[in-house]
Amino acid sequence: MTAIIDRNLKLFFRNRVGVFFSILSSLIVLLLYIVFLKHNMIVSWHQISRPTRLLDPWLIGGMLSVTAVTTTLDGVRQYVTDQERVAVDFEIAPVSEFKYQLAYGISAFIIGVMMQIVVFIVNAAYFGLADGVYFGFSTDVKLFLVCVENTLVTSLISMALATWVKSIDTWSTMESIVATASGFLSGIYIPIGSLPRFAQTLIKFYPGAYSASLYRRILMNEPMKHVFLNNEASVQRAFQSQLGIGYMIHGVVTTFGSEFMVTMLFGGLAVAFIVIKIAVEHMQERRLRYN
Amino acid sequence: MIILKTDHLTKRYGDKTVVSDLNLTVQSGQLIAFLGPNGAGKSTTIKMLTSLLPVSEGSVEINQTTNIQSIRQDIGIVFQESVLDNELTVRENLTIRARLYGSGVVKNVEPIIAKVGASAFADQLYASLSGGQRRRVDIARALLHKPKLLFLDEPTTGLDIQTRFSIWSMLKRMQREDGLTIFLTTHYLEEAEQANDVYIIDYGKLIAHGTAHELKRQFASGVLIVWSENYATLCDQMPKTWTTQLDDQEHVIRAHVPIDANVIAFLHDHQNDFTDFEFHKGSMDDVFLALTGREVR
Repeated sequence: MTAIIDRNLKLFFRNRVGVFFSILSSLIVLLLYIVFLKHNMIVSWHQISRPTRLLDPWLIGGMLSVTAVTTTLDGVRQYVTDQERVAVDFEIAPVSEFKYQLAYGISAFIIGVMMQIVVFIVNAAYFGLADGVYFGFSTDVKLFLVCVENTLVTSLISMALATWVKSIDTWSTMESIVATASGFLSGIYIPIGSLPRFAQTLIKFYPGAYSASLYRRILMNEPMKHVFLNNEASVQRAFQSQLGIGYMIHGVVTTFGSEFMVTMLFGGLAVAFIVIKIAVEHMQERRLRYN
Repeated sequence: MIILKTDHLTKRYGDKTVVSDLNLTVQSGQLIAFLGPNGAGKSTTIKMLTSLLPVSEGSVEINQTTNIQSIRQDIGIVFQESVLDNELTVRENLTIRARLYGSGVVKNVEPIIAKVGASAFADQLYASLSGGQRRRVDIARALLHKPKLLFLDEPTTGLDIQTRFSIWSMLKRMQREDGLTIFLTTHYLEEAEQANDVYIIDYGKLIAHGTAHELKRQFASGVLIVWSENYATLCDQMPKTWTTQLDDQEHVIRAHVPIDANVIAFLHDHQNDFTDFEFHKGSMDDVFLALTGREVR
């Protein structure tokens, strides 16, 4: 199994152009923010002093959530490619179907975590220099832990999708649709509070929205404490619901814990999907082979 | 010892029977050629023999077992299309595949690279290799775990004649020195002449089986062409088992003769009666065409 992981990582990182574009799709968001969105947002939050110390980490949170989705899809791409030619070579080797799929999932996970670290470093460096926004060590550690959990979930979902997609063309189309949609569904281009009711409801069905909220909570925790120190709690709540930190579901606002559970639930569904698919295929094969 | 045995092996897709009632018996250490026109069911058979395709009926026994995991330990496969990674070097490709079989197999990588003559390009990317070099590496991949039985699906298709010869001499050497059993499909029928045993299938059914020599004796005839002034008389003196045709304009006799006919004796006895002659021995091409017809599939 480690052999397949090793191979997948070599193939991924050796394709420099591929790696560059994989990161670029996330960093484009940074560029869009700097050029188009940042000014408007600062104006609309003018009542807060130095709004960038909230808005910059807010952007990074959403961007990491999108990166986790797009880079794990990119990582799992190898699985879909291999089904067309190489998979048969692994099939004749003594590696179980479960371990075989797990190897692709783990490769995608490693790729996802590494790419998020790169995206975070680039962002932290830029906003540190441009706006004097810095993150403490404890924030970094918490961020890393959430990154690990969330990337685990996105890798599982990507694998579940990959077992269902038959051709690399279909996969490419799906990847570009997800990459485009995820920016909106995680609420990075337009904050959720500015969206119509239907769009807000739609977002609540997207797992990446909850991971975006988790990332934002960690990154914005310190600055929010300072900014809203002398305000009523309702002011902070309004700010949070406008920017997608916690979502109102059936009159209850989600918390760090409930959002964490929601992402785990999506991961669990993906695992169930994969396990059922392998089991059904295994049974069909047995029936064919030994009838 | 019997290494491969199939018992009424059959594959159906819906109503269509692709392979029907195939019984093969392969002795250990032999080189077997498996022939058939395009679409005859060769690849489907290979896939069933190598446990990659479930059988519809019948069974496959390799090295006295029908257990798929044990079968996979005993066989190596060279696929028609390469299954190695273009962006990895030869050594990386082989090491990664070896690791799938356990750490003990990794130590086989270097000796196998040497054995197939790939040492000179072991650190080149697979994508940069020539067709012949790739085939050598594909064969090395199939031999990593030291299988007893090697399957090759058209290993020499698309290669130039020099490369085909060198691949063949390599396979013959492995058969001779390591006692490897080799089962291959090919479109180059002269290659089948070197096999210990030849199976020919068409429309999914076995239509002939035997050594190349036996098959030629049974299904192929030699062609003797004689130029003679007295061609009509000479033609009458030919044995009755020869089928003859006369060309009155060029004074030529064209005779189809059985493979074991004593052509030398005939020519010797009538050496003063002809001006020139040509003789073509029956080949595997003739056997193949006699059995599978001339129409293009």
